[in-house]
Amino acid sequence: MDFTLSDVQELTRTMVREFAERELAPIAAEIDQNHRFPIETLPKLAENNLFGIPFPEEWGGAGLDYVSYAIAIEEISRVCATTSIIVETHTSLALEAIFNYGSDEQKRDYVADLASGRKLASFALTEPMAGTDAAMQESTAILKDGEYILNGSKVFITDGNYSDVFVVFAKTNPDPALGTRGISAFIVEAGLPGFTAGEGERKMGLRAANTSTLMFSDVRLPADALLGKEGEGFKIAMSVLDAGRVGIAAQAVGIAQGALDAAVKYAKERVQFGKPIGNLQAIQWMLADMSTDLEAARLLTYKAAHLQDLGKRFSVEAAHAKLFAGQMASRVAGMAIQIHGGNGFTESYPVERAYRDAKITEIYEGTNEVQRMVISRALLR
Amino acid sequence: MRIVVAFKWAADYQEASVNGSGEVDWSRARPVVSSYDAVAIEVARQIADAVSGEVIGLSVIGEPTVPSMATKTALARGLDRVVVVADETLNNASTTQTGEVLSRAIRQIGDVDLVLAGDSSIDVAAKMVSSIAAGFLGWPAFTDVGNVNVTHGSGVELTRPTAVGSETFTVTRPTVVALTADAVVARVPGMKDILAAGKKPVEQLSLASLGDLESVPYTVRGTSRPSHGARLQKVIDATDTSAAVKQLAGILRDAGVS
Repeated sequence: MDFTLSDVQELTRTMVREFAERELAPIAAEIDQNHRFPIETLPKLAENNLFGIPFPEEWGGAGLDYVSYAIAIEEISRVCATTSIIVETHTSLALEAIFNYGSDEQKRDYVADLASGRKLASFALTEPMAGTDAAMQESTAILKDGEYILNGSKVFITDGNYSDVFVVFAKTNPDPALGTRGISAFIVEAGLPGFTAGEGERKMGLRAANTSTLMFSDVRLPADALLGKEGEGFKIAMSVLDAGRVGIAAQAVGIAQGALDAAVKYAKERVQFGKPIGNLQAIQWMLADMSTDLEAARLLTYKAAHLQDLGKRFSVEAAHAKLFAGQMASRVAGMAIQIHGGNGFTESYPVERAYRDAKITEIYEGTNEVQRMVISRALLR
Repeated sequence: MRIVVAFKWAADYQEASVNGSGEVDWSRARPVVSSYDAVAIEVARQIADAVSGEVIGLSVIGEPTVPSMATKTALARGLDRVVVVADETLNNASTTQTGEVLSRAIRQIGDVDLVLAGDSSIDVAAKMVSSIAAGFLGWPAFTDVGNVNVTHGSGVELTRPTAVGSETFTVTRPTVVALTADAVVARVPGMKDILAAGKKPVEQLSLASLGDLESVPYTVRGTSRPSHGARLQKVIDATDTSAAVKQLAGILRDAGVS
């Protein structure tokens, strides 16, 4: 068993950290406080090949592995979780779906543009009545005269107001007896007649990320917009959500690392009782617990990503990683605030943003409870 | 055009610490490409791209084998290939030795038109190695250079700041240039650069292949952090430069500087 990262993985950490410190750190607090989508960051992410890290070079990707991708998400999240979710949903969900399930023609039409960052993509599964119970899709895409007519709405769609391409799920056969086998996936381009996006939500965390509603009213999709086969949509969604969970686990690890770094810095600088508070055992124990918690989450995350690289099943490992890392990030960010005392409760220090950002990692791309379902089902099978 | 960039694989001073007795502890400082040299690589890359040239990284390492992270980090930043002189006897080599080894390696590479380096290094900061290398080569050396322009057929144009503005030189023969840290902003390598770095050539030269060195080694006997004496709070009026120099010399003498 070798826990040593490869040169490429170490270099990924070094270079993405440098990128994040230079390009993201100066704006991270401002975009959060103003709920401002960092549109100016997208070309920089593209220039550094951060939109297609684990996809082959011949398809416009960077050709790195999934562990490197997890490290990149971690380093971006350490500085700006908003930016990491832009990269993560684009890569782990939308692009992963098109790359793995697209026809040769679809891959030719979309993958290079998406992996290179020339276009941005979203993943549209969640509906008002289909959150954790994703099978309860109400959107429909009915085949008529060689076209699919898409109707319905989606909620909580990351980058909904900014993406060029959407992977959208809808029922192609509303027969209740078919269940999830009535759901199909489609590639839908922004700007089609009848396709509109609502205003972005104002959120507790990831405030600068764009999260919007999508509305489809008689949107006419060509038959070749179908991703995979009819009825495969739910399988596609669950498959790419496994990849997404590794990405979110990495995001949680990065958020926690940022909080821990801030807490260590503060413990060295803040003087109380005539000495830096880092000299106090109460603070030392908190830092030790945070570090241990964080390292356990990191190892679970890298293990899941490593299995993904090996082409093995990683559903349970992804659930382990996301469940533990999400809860860990909330714990670590909370302790980081505790170490900061009253200062940590203000916007003047980054730990309050980490605390707000961490919470969503326990919710999206499968709540803690869904991860427990995945894990326990595997145990009891 | 063939450009050599001398780069140092050095301990990151940001991860060094000073213990209670004033000794600098480098043991937990991970090595990185000296940030000054990253600027030199960037300048070299920009020149090479403009004139279809080649950028060769050159480093002297006091280890028997070349650390792959050292070469890949530098290659990812824009080098076409790397030549490394790696030898245990060069561990803690003096600036003079390092400059001489660089000069020998530059001659061995051959047909070099321009040597670029950072003006300093992140650890020792002797600020002399590039000039020493130029001395051994018998080439002109320019330090503190903020801008380098190369145009076909007219040599290399160098600009460096002075106390009252800047001065520009045109050099029409091989030369060694040390660049300021702010000459350009070094780009952050992209993910594709990281993968490409592993596919670029790395050549290791033995010290023996460069012949016997002329320079004499020396040993650093100790390090300490600077003592913080009380500030003298003296302000010198420099309107009359000659008088100002005399006044400064007097103050230093009175302060015990001999």
